[in-house]
Amino acid sequence: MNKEVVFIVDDEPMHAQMMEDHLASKYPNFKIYKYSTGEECNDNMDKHPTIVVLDYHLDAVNKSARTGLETLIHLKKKYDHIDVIMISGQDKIDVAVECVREGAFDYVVKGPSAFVRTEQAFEKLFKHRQVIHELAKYKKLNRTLTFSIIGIIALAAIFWATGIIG
Amino acid sequence: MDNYKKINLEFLQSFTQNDNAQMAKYINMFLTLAPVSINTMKTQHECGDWNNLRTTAHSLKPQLAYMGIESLKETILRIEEYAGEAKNPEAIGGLIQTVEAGCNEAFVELRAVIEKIA
Repeated sequence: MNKEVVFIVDDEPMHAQMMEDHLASKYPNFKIYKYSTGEECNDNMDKHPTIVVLDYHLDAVNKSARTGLETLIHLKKKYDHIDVIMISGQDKIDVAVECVREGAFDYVVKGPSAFVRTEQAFEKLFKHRQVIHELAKYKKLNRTLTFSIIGIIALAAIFWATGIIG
Repeated sequence: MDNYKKINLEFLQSFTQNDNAQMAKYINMFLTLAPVSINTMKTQHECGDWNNLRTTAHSLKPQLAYMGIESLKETILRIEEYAGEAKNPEAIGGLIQTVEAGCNEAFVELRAVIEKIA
C-alpha cells in the first residue's frame, strides 16, 4: 500500500487540484501525478501507476482529446493490472454501469462528496486486493495439500503392493 | 464566515479544515476559471455548438457546487440538459445570462472573502 503511484487524469484544473490535495493529505506515502488528458496519461506509463483516477469526459478543454471512457478502454486493454476509478459529473446509472463493464473498479460522481467517495473507493480497492491476495495464498496451500495427500496415498499403495505394509 | 447571499463556503471550510491559504487558492482558481467558462458558453451558444456547450456547462457545475452557489444549480443543469438535446436556444441564452449575473455577484462576494482571509 505504501508504494502506490496514483494518476489523476482530469481536465478540470480546480477539481484535479482539490483531488490531488485531498489524496496527498490522506495518503502521504503515495506518489501522485496529475494529467489533463488521456494522451498525457498514456505518455507517462513509465511511472508505473497502480491506480488511475480518471474523468469520464476529458474533452471539455481540448475537443480532440481522447475521452475518459476511451482512455479507460485503452488502459484496461494494455495495462489490465492498473485499477481505475472513474469520476464524472453525471450521476446516471447507465454511465456508471458502462464504466464498470469496461473494467473500472468504481465510479464516483463529481461534486463536494467526490473526495470522500474517492477515498472510500480506495479503501474498498485495498480490501479487494487483500482478499485476492489471501485467495491466491489459500489456492496455493490447497494445491500443496492436495499434492501431499496424493503423494501419501501413492506411497501407501506402493508399500502395500510391494508387501512392505499390509 | 460572514453571511453571503450567493456563496456558501461551508464545504470549502470543511474541505480545507479552515486553512485560509488553501481556501484562497481554490477561490482564486474559481475566479480565474469560471469567467472563461461563461464566455465559452456564450460563444458556443452564439455558434449553436450545442454538444460543446453541454460539456462546458457540465464542467462548470462542480465548480459552482464547491463555492456553494446553490442558486445556480438548477440553471446550469437546465443548460446542460437543453444543450444536450439541442433544444430551446432562446431559453439557453436566458439561462446563460442568469448564470453570468449570478456568478458576477458571487465573484464580488468571493473577492471580499479573499480580502478578509489574505
